[in-house]
Amino acid sequence: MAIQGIGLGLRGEFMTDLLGTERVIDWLEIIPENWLNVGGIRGRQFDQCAERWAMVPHSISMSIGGPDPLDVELFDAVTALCHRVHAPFWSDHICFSVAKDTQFNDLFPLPFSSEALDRVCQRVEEARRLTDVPLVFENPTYYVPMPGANMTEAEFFTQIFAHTGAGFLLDVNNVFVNAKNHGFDAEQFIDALPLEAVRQIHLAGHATFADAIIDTHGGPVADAVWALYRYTLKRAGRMIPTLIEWDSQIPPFAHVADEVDRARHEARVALAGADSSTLLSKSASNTEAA
Amino acid sequence: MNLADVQETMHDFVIGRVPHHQACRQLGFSADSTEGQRLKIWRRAYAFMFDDNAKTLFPVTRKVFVSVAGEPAWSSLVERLGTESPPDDVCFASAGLVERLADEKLGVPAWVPELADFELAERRVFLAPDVSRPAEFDACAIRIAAPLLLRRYSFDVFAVRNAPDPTQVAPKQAAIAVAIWRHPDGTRRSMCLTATGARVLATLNNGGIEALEALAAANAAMQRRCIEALRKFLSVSLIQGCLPSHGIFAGLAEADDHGTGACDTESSHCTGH
Repeated sequence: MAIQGIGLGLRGEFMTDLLGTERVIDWLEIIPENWLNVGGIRGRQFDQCAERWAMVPHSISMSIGGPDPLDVELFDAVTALCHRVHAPFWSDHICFSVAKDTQFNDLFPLPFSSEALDRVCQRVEEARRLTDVPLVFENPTYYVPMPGANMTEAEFFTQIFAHTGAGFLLDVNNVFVNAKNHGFDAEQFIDALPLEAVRQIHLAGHATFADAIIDTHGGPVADAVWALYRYTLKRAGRMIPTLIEWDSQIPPFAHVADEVDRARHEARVALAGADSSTLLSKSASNTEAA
Repeated sequence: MNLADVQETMHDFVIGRVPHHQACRQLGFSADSTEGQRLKIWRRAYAFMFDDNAKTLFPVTRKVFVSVAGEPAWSSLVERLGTESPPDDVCFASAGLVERLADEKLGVPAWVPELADFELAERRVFLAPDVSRPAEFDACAIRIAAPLLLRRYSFDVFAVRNAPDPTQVAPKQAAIAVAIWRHPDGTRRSMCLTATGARVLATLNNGGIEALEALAAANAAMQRRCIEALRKFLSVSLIQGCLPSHGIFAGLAEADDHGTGACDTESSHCTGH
């Protein structure tokens, strides 16, 4: 089931409110590790969400650049989940998140090196033998560049998508955070990316600390990130399905839904003059048509 | 430094097996540099993830532990667990706390590890996949609630749980009787009985009713209490239906509070309906 418009990351904290809302949420992104084999009331709520919204799994433990073998059980389970919810693709991150059997629940950067590039490309091929679901990968944040780099971050991602043909999940907040932490120009970075490969965009809040800006997903999207989002859509020249992530310090659902509305507004502003019908959610289109 | 070395260094540093200065040296920057300071972000995130998971899995145990031993002791315990037992399952990252509490001399009451074990079981039950039920269950409108309805923890829980075969042990006469055991097929089963209030007979997994019947059949005292409780359920219309083959050993009830944070009872207090 294709996704369009503005989606929201499904979190247990606001699931009941989400199911009762009349606010326009176009689709949901789910962290599959949290929903595999879950029954009871949570499982029933999940099923209700799946009936109402298109869903896209966004995992954190594929560890496509990791040292451990790919987890066949994870692939089987997430593939089955993708089929169950008719997901258009399955996304994860260009990183490693599992090592020595340890599940970090975090994303560790790879060196921007030829060795890591080869590793990722080879593993994407391996992953495709384990699932028939199209794969999409996100650019993560990194607070420290890993040693061994022999290319830029943008070159690293560009080559991965060129060699593998995988889809690109562009996290605009991550670009902003990395640009601030490492002192590069975020717009120039966007310019250097293969925007034609982007299947989805992520937006989230971050927090500023003494030693770095951290991608916390714990607040509203910053104004500077909204600006970078508009820039990205203008550069892409098309609406790209966009997701609001809010994973910590989760406020009442209405606040999260406000961010979804804001994303819809920002997309309209960015693409003013473009084919505006691509911006509208199915629900909003129907409303306006009526 | 090749990719494998980078990843090994990151792993060992983040879980706390390699000190900061050594990890920085291996990764090629000084501990005092911006990179060196930022490297700590991942270590802190790992510790936070572990602590957060422990709070989720063991909310009551944590409360008890902190009240007895203090917050620093809890933090230290969880941090050591993260270093020595890194998780292979994110949802249950801190599950090793049960054994750690049992193994170490931590100055907490002996029943605290049992409480932790019970909380862990509850969480697993809460997240467990649904099991298929015979069609006749739905026809009779019988609903089996998960065993998440405990009003208070008590040693009844542990006395029964520790028995080699709890179906052969008479629980102490108390307001609440709970049986939790692992079936030979590996499934966790439990039940909660009380004759003093409108409590549900809570069973878990296929065969729960049969297990309940077996328990009742094997123990006259339990059977009496069970029936008394069910009569109360009937009197307040908490039992909606019964399978003829199962007598009255099943029902739908409401819970008015929880022993722990997990709840899957479809009761008004937790669903808002």
